[in-house]
Amino acid sequence: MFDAYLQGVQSLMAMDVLLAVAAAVPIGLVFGLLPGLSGLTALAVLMPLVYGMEPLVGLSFLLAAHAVVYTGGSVTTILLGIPGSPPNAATLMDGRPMALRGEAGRAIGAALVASALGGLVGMVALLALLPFLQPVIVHLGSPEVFALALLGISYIAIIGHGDLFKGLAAGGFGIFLSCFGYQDITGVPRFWSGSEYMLDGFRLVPLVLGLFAIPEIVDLAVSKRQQFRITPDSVSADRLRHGMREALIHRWLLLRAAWIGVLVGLIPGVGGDTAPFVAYGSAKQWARDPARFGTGCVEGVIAPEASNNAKEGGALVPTLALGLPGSAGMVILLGGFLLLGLQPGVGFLDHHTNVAVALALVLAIANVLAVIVMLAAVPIVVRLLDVRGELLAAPLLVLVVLGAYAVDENTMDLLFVAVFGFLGYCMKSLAYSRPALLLGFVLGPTLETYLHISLQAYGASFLLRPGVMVIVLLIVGGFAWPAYRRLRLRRKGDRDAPC
Amino acid sequence: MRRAEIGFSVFLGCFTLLWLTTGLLVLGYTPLVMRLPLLAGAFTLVMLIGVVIGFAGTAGSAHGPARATVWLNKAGLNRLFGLASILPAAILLGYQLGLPLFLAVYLTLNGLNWKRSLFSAVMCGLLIELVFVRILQVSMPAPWGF
Repeated sequence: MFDAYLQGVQSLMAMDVLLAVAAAVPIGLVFGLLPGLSGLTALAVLMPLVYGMEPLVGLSFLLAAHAVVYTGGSVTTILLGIPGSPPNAATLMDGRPMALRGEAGRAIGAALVASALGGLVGMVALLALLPFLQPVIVHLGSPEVFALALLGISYIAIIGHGDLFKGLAAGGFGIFLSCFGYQDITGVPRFWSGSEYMLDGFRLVPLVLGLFAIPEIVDLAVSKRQQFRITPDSVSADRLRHGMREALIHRWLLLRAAWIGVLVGLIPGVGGDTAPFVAYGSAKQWARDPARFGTGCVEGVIAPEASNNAKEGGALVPTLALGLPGSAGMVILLGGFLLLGLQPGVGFLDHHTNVAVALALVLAIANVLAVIVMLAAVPIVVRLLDVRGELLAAPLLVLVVLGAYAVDENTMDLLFVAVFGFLGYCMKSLAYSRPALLLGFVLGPTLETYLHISLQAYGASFLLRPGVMVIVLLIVGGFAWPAYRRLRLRRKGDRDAPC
Repeated sequence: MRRAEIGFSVFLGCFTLLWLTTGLLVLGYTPLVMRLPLLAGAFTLVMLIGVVIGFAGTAGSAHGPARATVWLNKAGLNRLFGLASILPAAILLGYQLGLPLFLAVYLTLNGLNWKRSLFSAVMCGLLIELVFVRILQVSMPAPWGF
């Protein structure tokens, strides 16, 4: 095994592999910076380019571009309040309030370091777990995967800022929206109203752009009071350094969030977009003062960003070991493997451990390189954005239109951006949790598929499986713990209050 | 604000209920097809009822003020209509012409000097042509009628 690890390091040191990584990182960052163009889009667009390359060169190119998309996305999320890619939505909750308070540099510094260190944790996890995890993952059945998806949903209540009912309603509505279009199990199109477009249901990119980009653009456009407040001073080198130091100060939070990312990423099908929300919920749950979350606290930036980049390491484990993609991005990467003549799955690690090791190192190098590039680019990005709010709204809208159209080349997507934009504006105005809706939408199909398989295989008794019962206990604990803490704080307050 | 809160909850509830009823009674979907929509829809409805009851019972004050957003004034509404003109511009003139033109006109009307507006429009055109058309191989839609 040690020889294989050594071979992996040697293969990575080849000039063409390093050049591929160096070329992919800026491309991935640009995809992240442009609202709506996610890592999925980056992989899909870049995949044809690797055809004919050496397998490791091609895979390094794809993986490096995909891995750093969220790093670029975090900057757009903090500066503009628009998630660069869907998983960055969790960073929005505290990153944007920090930026509006003049602390954009601090937020970006913390986000970049959290992203880089998260990526390093992902690499370590991948290297450490590869030899041991195969038997464990094989024992995860559909009931456990279903329960894990429910665990993700249960965090909706924690994500929902303030009103539990609104958070849960938004999450439930997100799941309901995911039910439109073809049902995976039966192939029956649901609620499609005779429209060919609706056969595939609502699309993720228009939903994300509508919910998160349009309300910000409307706010920028309609009120001169709500101008863009990011000044070059707010992202000065000092502030960036301050943020970077803070990420190191909160190292235990960062490590915990990164491991959450790895663990969630490990679960085939569940990983991907769920991890940052779970990490955010966990950070809020364990915080001494959870009320600060959502108002612009740096921990709310560090946790999702660390998990965002760490999850790719976790997601690579089932992709390589079992041929089961750990995240949506890994689905496309799996296609890249096949295109380059490699077949991930059982047995892959026996013959290609060196490739797996090299890919783990690519993750680490790409993440560190991305932070260096972004630190250099932030002042330029901010200068480009240093315009009046109502003027910034127009180019942003052009980017949203282009981003929405470019994915499927369908003008109908623009209509749905407008529809979801209205929904997002109302939700923002009335303090409904938009991330909760998105999380429900993302997890809906997973829930349905694994619920169906569990019921078919075990009947209702699948709920009595030990693994499921443990996860259900975690869900109950997730709801009970904040209530218990509130009760304790209230009692403490009563005790401390003067008679 | 309280009326808006209740109105929005009712709107979401009606949307959910309408599709659930259509699926069950009009389209006649089987229980297997309707399982998740029913579970999610019923759950959403119960939660929305919780929201409405909370507001009806407390006059909204217990929930605190809704999150800060900018409610529309007349000037803002005009700018919003200006932004909405991106759709007809893109559809009628095509993206390669319509989007730069929209940008130039909108920016000029909102006080940016015409040289900068023109520069922005040219940059927008280059972005579309170089990044989206050449590199990403996106086929941009032709102008209306072509």
